[in-house]
Amino acid sequence: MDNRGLCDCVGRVSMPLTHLHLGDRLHLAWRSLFVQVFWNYRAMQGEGFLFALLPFVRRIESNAEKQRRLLHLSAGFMNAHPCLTPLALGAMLRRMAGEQELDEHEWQTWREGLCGPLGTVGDTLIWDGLKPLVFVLATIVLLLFGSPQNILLFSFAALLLYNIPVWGLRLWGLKEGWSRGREVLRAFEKPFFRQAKSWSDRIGAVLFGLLLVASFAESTLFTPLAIGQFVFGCLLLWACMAARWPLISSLVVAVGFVPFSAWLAQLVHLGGW
Amino acid sequence: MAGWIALFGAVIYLDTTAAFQFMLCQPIIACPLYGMIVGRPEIGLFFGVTFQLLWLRALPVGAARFPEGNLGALVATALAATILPTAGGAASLLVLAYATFAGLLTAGFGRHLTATVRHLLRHFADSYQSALLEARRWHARTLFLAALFFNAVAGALFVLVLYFVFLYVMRGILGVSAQVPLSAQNAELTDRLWSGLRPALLGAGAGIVAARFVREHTLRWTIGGFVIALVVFLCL
Repeated sequence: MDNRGLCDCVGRVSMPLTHLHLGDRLHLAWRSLFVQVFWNYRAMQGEGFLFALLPFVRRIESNAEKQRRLLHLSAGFMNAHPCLTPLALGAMLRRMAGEQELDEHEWQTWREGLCGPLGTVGDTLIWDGLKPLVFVLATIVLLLFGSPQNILLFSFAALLLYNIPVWGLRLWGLKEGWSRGREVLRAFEKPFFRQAKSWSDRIGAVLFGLLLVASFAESTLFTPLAIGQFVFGCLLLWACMAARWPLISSLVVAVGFVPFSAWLAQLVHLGGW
Repeated sequence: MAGWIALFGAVIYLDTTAAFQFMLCQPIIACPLYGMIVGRPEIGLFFGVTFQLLWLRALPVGAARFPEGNLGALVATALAATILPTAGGAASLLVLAYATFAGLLTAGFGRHLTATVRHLLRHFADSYQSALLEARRWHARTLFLAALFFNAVAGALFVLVLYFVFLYVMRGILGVSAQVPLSAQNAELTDRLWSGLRPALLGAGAGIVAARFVREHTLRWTIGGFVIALVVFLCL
């Protein structure tokens, strides 16, 4: 929708917030879980941010027209990793609640400048780091010890292992965003963010070693045929991922090779039949 | 059964991208839970473990189209749990293989689902913004709930449709079900042909993990992990 001309600058709010209480932080963190409900190709998470900031905008500004202008500033293009949206929300709220005057053009530029770093850091840290690590570990544990009796226990443990650091990151993000305001991206200058990728790579490499042993510890992998099928699947997908071939097609080929390899094994009288 | 599939489809679809993202959607969580509910935990375990690794590199990043592997795993589990009357029955590996293909195809079709839903959500988003700027609070609240519901229904309908399509294809064309069993000889043959399904899926998953984590500078970490795990395994 076209909102040009709605506002250029928004003056100081009538009821500035000076402190974000624990209740406020939890409320904002809860609403940040829904920033992707309206995800669309125009504003991406824009309306989700509007939803998250809505009760706070109403709290800091009672004048209807100024409230409308603040809501307009809350919407618009925005995209960030979902786990780092509290960082952006905290910073936006701080600026809205504390600054003497918000210039719309400067605000939009600043806001769009957050998208790249918040997306890249979040994707590296969570989607490409914590998530694969936790779920590869969970797979290894289930391969070694999983049974219909204990599977829910292990699944619940995997959920905790993922969600505890993620919620720590969310609440840390809110605190940092609120305390840094406009300079929120300086939060990423901490050594942790520089070292996280290399450490996740190392831990993932160790887990791959464990996964190989755990897979071979499976009773289904004790025949030469089964070992061959495992190795073929592994090498095929590794090569396909390296060559950036479509994932689904590569998987269909890997699975489709199973009866063919069994037939070949029968021809050469290999074990496993 | 259909009610559970729809409920799981809705929750998984919401949790994958739209809301919460607690990772309840992951195959290793959702499939065993579904298996427990329908009384086939071993099938949930099979697909939970094998499908989990396959989607590790399919990241729901920005506007990228990604395979809906979580919904695919649910369809595979639901199909196998419906078609296989008892654990370890005749032609069970053929059914698992069929369900695996169905799961992979579902994940592939899912790429278009998310793109379509996101195009349609623009209308909800525009109306929501207008409602708030015009101070129509109840309208805005209704639109938010409608968008949430729309996401959930999209996930539920998608898995239900594909589940029934693949179920009837299996029953109609291949003639494999509790009602129309294969002959004992054919069942034994198909099970022998598909005996490598689990190793192949585990191998494919391991290949995807390797593609993500194994590099020249991390090779010694891989070897270290492998040696330590091997020693522990042999000692135990």
